[in-house]
Amino acid sequence: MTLPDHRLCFRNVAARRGNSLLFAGLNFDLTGGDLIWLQGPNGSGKTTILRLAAGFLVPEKGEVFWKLEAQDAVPEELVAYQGHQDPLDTELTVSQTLNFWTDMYNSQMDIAKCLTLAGLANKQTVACGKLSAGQKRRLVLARLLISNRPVWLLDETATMIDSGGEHLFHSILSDHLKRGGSALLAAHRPVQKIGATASRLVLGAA
Amino acid sequence: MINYLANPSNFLRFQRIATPVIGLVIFLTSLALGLWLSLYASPADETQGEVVRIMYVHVPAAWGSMMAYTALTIASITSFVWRHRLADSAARAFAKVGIVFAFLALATGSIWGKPTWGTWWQWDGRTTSMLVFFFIYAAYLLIWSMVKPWNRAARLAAILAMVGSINIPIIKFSVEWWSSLHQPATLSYIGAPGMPSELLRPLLMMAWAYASLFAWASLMFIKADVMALRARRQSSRPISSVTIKKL
Amino acid sequence: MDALIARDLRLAGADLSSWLPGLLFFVFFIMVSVIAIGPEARILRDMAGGLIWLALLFSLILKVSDLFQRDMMTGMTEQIFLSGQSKLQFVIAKAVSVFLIHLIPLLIIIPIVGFVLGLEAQQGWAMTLSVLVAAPALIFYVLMTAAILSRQRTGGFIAVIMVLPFLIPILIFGVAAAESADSSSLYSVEIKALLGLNLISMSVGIPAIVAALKANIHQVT
Repeated sequence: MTLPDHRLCFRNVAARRGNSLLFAGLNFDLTGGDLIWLQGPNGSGKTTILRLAAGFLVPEKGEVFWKLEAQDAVPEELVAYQGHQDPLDTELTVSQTLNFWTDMYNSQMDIAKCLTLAGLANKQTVACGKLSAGQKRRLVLARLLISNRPVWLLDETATMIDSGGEHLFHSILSDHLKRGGSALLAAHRPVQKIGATASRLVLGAA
Repeated sequence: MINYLANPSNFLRFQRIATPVIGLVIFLTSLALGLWLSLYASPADETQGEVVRIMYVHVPAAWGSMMAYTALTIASITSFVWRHRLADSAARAFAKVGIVFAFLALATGSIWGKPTWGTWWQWDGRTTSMLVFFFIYAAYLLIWSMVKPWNRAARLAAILAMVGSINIPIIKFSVEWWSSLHQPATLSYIGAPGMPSELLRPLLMMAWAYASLFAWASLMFIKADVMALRARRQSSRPISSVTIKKL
Repeated sequence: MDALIARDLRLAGADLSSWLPGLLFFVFFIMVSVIAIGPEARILRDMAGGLIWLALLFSLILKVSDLFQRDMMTGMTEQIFLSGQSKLQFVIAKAVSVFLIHLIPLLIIIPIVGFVLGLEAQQGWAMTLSVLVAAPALIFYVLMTAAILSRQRTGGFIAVIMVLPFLIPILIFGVAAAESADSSSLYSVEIKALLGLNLISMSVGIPAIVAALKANIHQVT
């Protein structure tokens, strides 16, 4: 099962946070199989780039747009965004949470399989509030799998996860890229190269 | 004209001339003329006596607060559709003037009410709906002072202003219906079409003075807003440089 | 839409503090009002309609005005907006859950409170009926305020100031509908006015709610 064709384009993009200009003249494309690692110190604009890609931000200058093969494709339905928060209901159990998202995404994915992939198979009836920080991140991974969206926009998803989990994340990500998906990844810890076109976008002190 | 003014620099250039002309020339002359007409050149009322002259400051204030809301609605629609910063500044300025006019209308109405109705405050339809109107302005301005950042406040305030513009007539109608339910309307309103021209002339002149006061105060508020925004956005050097490498 | 409503109901079931205080507030408001006014039966009976409506409005505003806040802060709302579900359905689902979770308990207790205030049983039912008819307008305006204030941690008082002007027509016709009620009152002017207000609140409120939530998620840099 492959994911739909897509190309996300940043053209000469500039963005502000508050009154200060974060970056200017940002150009890149993200298409099937691509992995881009956003690297940079706190406050350099990594999250801003992810939110620009998700459509939550409108750039100060330049353009963020999609090139899509399918006529009826909706950009909003291509991305799965994971901010640095965990959007979870502490009162609901893991399986209730994933059932909810399956309905929301109108997804055909198998919940049990996604849970196993994320390493949460034995936590189905545990309330989300009782999960550890790392397990919450794993649950977020399971939601990404369920969303079945081609473009993953991930903000520090791998942090808080133990080394086993990191390995898991890596294999899930490489599967996703092989299926024709793409990912924009903000991370402090080094990201391994996956796929031929993987690149590194460094936001440095100017 | 609108397109020209939509550019903040052009606006600042325009207001440098317009503010003194409207403020000093138009406002002061029309105020002087209006006061003369209403205090000396018009007759006292047969039943109310000299007290009727309060009408010349009261009625235009009520008109002015409604005019300000119309302007606020137009500016809010402009801001919402075209996301224009000057429209936001204008909307906020109109609301500031509007709430002052609404307060003036309530205060002068109360002062007028004492000698004519024998009470400072009467819960009649007109007074009550003006009070509600005052609170709508207050809520609008509270959004501006509460919500950060600036552009989010602008959007939320514009939404409230637009919803308000649809609801104000409904509120007015229902409050008047409510007051007619509890007491028959006692006061026939002055300012109706049948009004003699010696009363109408000072009233219209004062309305003109209020309108120019509105324009002058709005220009001042917009200018202050534009200047404050300019002062804040100075940094044009980006914090981060961008380099893309193969992994 | 079912999934959204089911989620809200589950959360309300798991956390009583999300709706029970609203109900307690309602009864408390009536009680302290009686203490303030004095227990004379005739006066209480005259004031019952207005008191019940006031208690209802404040209970609803104070509870519901932070309704979108938690989801906005945890990033849940932006995930829902990205999920491809229609925003119209999202708002309607929210309104349905507010009705089920916050309004139904109040509707049940209104006849009892009316009885305590000395209303005839039939008058008590008329109160419930008037609230039921006005429910959509109440809910959509309160939700609009909640959407506008969804990023504000301290929204209580400003919520009251913001939403009450819009609720005044509903209050006026609601109280009037309850007071003039007899068996043929379903077709009275007041009920028709409330139905009209419902239509307006929906056609104005739903786009306003979506736009306000978007403004709180999105940001122009």
